[in-house]
Amino acid sequence: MGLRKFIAACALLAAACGRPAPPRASGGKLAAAVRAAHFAGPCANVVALEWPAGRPVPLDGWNGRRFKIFFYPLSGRPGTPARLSAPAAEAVVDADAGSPVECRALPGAPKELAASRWTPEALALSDDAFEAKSTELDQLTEDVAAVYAATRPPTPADVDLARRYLESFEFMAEPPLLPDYYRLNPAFWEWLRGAAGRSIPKPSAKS
Amino acid sequence: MRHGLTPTFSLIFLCAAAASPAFPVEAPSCGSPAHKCDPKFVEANAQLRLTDPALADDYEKLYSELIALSPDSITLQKDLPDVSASALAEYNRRRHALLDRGVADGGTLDKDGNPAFGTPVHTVNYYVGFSIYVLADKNVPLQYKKFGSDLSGLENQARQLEGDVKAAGGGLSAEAKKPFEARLTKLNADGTSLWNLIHTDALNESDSDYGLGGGKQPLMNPLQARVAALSGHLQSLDQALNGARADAARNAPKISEALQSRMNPTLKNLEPFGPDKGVADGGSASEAESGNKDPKPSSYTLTPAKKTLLDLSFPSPTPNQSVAAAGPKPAVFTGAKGEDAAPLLTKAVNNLRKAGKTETLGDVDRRAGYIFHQTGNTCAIGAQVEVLADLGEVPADPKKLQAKADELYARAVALGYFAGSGTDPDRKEHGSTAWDHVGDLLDRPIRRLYQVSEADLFKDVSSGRMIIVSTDSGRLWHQREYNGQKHLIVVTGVEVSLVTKKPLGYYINDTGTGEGGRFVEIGQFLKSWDKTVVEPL
Repeated sequence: MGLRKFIAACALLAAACGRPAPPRASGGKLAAAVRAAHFAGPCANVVALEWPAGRPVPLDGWNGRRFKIFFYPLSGRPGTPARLSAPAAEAVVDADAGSPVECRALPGAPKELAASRWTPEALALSDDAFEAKSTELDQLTEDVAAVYAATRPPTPADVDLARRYLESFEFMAEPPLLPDYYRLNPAFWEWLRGAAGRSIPKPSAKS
Repeated sequence: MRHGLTPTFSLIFLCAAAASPAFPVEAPSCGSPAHKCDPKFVEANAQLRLTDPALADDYEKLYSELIALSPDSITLQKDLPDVSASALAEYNRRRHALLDRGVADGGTLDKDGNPAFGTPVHTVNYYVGFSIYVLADKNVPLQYKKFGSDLSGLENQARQLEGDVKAAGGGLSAEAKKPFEARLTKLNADGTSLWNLIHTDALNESDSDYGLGGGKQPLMNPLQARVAALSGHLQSLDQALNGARADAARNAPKISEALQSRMNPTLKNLEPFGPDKGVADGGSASEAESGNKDPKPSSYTLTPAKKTLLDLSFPSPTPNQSVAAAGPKPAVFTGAKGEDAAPLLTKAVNNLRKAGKTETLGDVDRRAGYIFHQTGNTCAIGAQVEVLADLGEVPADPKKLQAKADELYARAVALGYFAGSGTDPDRKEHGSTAWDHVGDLLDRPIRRLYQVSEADLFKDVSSGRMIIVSTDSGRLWHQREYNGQKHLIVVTGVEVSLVTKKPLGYYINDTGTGEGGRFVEIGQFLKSWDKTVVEPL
């Protein structure tokens, strides 16, 4: 075999196999890092306490251990419906570090969004069931991030995981903020579209 | 020598209440195991657990065993499992032992030394006893057959005694009467014992709330009538032996009335076991009727009631006894806007407070006066204003507190402590304070801690300090729409169990709801709390 063919063969082999998926992440680290976001690291000086954090979205690289989150204003009084606004800050969270590693306020006045914060199905759950679904999504996010970071064709198990993640995300995420979730990492959502067969909608240029 | 019939056997029985019992047989809306989710049991169990967790555990264990045998014990199911009499007796023995422990542990007692009606021990014990009752009920037909045959034996003996007294003729000497009197005494005693078995089996309580033997009425009536007849027979023998007495003769019509009234469960002056002043001893019927209204069987028997597997020994339904709280306590309330996620637990704690089993640490009442309603997302500012009020720097007047909050908001914006866009006309609604700046407006050294332990929080608050903490709004207000939003409040005090020395809940001022001195039960508080503390040094 000539050298060129050998190199080509190696390249093909590498492309086909990719890196092995990182070992499945231990549960809870990502959730703990997001919970700490308001109080530890760079966000403690930037993010308003009354801005809840959105669901983390996997970033490229970093072995699937870094995620991007946004924080969005929530207004209202107890006993009245909560009013959410478009994100006002973003952060990069390192699950293994247990806290954000970057944080920035977003410019401009946040726009209030006229829609319910949760899906009707999520609102209908009991408190315990809601917490359980949230925890499940946290774990699925870490797992799917590991698969995403593997950069190889998804196996049947990966496809199944991707679908379960998407279902869980669509159940638990805030519907008015889907365009903002997409913008956190479009590459991930498009990868998911390929792996799971569908994904969250790609926002229009105007949204 | 006048031989008196034992008053207890002189026609004293209560029929099972004709009315359907209201407590607890009415089916709750919750599913099986039915009783355990009955709100009255849940509340009582929660309260018992707060004061004596070990006793609550043991009751729970026994109750669970019983419920496992009778999954739907709300109605007297026909398909109850066969539980042996000895097993039922053992269950009852265990229940009595727990009751004794509950009393020994300082449970509130009524005047007869039983757990007072409505106390947690009483209520939990009652539910457990009811489960035993339901299981025992399966044995009723056989048991009543035995009652019937035992009664037949006594009736035969009475007839034999009558024959022997007649055969002996009249004018017997005192000495000659003795053996007959002895037999009569024994018949009375045996009859009393048998009646006690029948009576306690049917749970004869005059209070309709406790009457549970409605289903036994068809079985009870023939036995009651026979007991009444036997009692009358023995009274006649007594008179025959001791001669007719003028007063007894006069009272004869009243005796029958009294006997009838005792058999009738609907009359008010129901006397389950006539005291010694009962009609059989020559007392007046009205006296007997107006006697002790407490339908408690055993105290009046001359022969101690023999405990049987069917002796459920429910305490007398005396009115709720409240123990005056020791010293003034803040008005406990759960905010209308900040919803109570566990109202039964909160109620249980409140009952404990009223019973004097807790203490409030921290000047909750005075600090409730610092409350005002925040505008926009200014909870951190509102909390700092309250701290300044506690330090005496701001009068506890809502207008002045609000004015101070406005002043501090302006400062926060100017100093960059208040996150949000400067171009946002609704910055106060959309922005808020970042964690790193909470407390900075106090203008004094502070502690600002994250990942604080529960023990350290308790130590801080129980020492009397008022502290700022961060919470999850949704969990604090029990409104999921606000989950994940951080909200700063002040903790003004804590309610501590005098038995376990542990916190049962914290008092808070919440400028978000405008509530001062709101009690948050410990479970809800810990779920809401972000493990943070901010306080001036």
